[in-house]
Amino acid sequence: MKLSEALSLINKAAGYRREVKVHLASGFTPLHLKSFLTAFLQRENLTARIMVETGMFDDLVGNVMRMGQSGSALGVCVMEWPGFDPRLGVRRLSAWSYKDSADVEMQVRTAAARLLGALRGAAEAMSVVVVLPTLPLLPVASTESTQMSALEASLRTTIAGLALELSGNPRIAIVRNDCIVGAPGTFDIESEIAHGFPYTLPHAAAVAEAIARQVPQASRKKGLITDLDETLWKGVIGEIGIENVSWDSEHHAQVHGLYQQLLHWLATEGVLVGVASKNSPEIIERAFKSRPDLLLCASDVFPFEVHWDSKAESVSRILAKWNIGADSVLFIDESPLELAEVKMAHPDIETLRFPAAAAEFFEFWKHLRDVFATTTVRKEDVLRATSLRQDDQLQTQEAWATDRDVFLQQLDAEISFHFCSESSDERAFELVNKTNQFNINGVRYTVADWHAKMDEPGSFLLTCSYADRFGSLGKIAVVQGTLEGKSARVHSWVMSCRAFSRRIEFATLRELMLKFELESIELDYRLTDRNAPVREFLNTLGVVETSPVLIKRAESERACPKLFFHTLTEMGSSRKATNAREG
Amino acid sequence: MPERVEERLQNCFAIVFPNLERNQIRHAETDNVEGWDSVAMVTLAAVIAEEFQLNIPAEDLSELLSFTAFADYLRLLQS
Repeated sequence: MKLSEALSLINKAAGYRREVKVHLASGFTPLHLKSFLTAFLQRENLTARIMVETGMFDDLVGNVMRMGQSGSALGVCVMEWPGFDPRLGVRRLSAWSYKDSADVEMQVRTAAARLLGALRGAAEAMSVVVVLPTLPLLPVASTESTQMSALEASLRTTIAGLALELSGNPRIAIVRNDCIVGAPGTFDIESEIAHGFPYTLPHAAAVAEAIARQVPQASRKKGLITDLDETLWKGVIGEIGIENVSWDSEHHAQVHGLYQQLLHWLATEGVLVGVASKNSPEIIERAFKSRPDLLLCASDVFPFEVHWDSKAESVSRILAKWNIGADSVLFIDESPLELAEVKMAHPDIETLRFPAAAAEFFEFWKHLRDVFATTTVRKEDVLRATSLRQDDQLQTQEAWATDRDVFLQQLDAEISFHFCSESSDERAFELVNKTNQFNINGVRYTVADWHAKMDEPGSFLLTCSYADRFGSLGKIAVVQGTLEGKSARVHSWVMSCRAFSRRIEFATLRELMLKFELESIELDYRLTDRNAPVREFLNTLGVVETSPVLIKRAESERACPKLFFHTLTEMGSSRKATNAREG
Repeated sequence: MPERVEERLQNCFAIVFPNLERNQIRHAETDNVEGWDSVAMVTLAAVIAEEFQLNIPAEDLSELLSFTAFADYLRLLQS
């Protein structure tokens, strides 16, 4: 992006009424970096104007400290060496020499420690993106400029240590320097001396673009559907036999092995991996049993759709079993025809051709990494595939059970409710921001908005975990609201689609009424394109579908079906087990 | 100065000062354009340098206080 293009993009967004504040902290004059950052963030946001605020010149740590109080939706910290010690820059002159190296090292360590504290503090209020020094160290050591000096090694160790500490924080994203790709030439010494801005224009654009890529996108995909022949392995298994398909370098098939390895990684991170293959199911079952060298295990995959029906049909069945939309899924096949057929039947799905040449595999790998990227792998993510498989078994059993009450009773289910008034529950925040179907209004929150909501007088947060004899689903529901005497106003109520059909929503409603001794609850309900399950729930309760929706205790009790749960309730840190089977 | 160059220069001004009417640009000076401060000056110089593929040294900026001055400067560089 050129600077003129960035400014044009910013000018076009001037008419938006809503603003999203971003705090950019650096030790230098942000100048064109600010313009590029605004533009790259603006490009992703078509409903609000991006307002990038900056701090004081030459005060990196102070600017990060002020970030936490800025009320911004996003914080960005861009570090360069003079921000740690001005002696490592060109703007301040001082008579230092190699004899002062130890003092420079100590100064950088001290600044790094202060930055660590300040960034952790800021991350309590917002998501933060960090850029570690991108510019080369000045040739200040006695060694040749191409040789790494002891001073540089020490300074880079300090920065690496800072990165290590920060990387453990789920709200902090660190930009990888090797992903900042601009034109050659990063340091503009003339601009640094004259204006306090050390970047060339292409480097400023590249840094800003890399920052913008760190901003969490709501579109992280949840599932991957893969073909088998010429994709998971080299060869057509039905033709050459189980023992002759390959995925190693000896058979010039290493990229298929790398693909298997990657799918195994994704599966362990909670990404759903399904197979859609036109094959004989018996052969594929035998292949997964008799080829222990397969890097993707059968247990990593759910479901297998192996038959001679169309791939589009297979994808439909897999989506139904996963209970997610096509836009959350990536379909991979080596055949352009199959890809086109699936795309025609499921326009929202992303289709990707398995690379025909090994040279294309690295870009393919990086793309997969990006569409399934997450900063933290949570317990619930890992449980996802297992619980879906259990759900499949559960539905099979349910089909056999003639009476739904009998079936639910046999589940031996346990619900744990946890009430608190803090906003630090990352899983709750994540659930609210990614759940579409059982979501009373589809409202998404920034970290700052979520904190503000929780800081309102009378605010409460209820989270709900579920387990039954088929296993645990982890934390699956969140209710956020405020108490007003004998009534509550619920601003957000979401439940994972994995927990449907178990009457958990009725148990949650009952729990709220009982614990807070409420007479009524108002829901900030809004019909969305995807929240039909909420509408269905409200219809079952027999309440009028308005906004807000009023639910009276007596009505909800009358409409509540029989519940068969062991219920555990935690209030803050105290744990109270009612442990009674209701019904 | 060829018309095409002047038009390109006007476009640069329009991008940096979006509130400036097109007919005001040719008369623009630091004293009569709101927001033409030191940051805007560096931004304008960078946009012009980018557009015309040239380097404008920082010490030249103190002389470039109007649209006309930039136009003359470009004419000189291109002659």
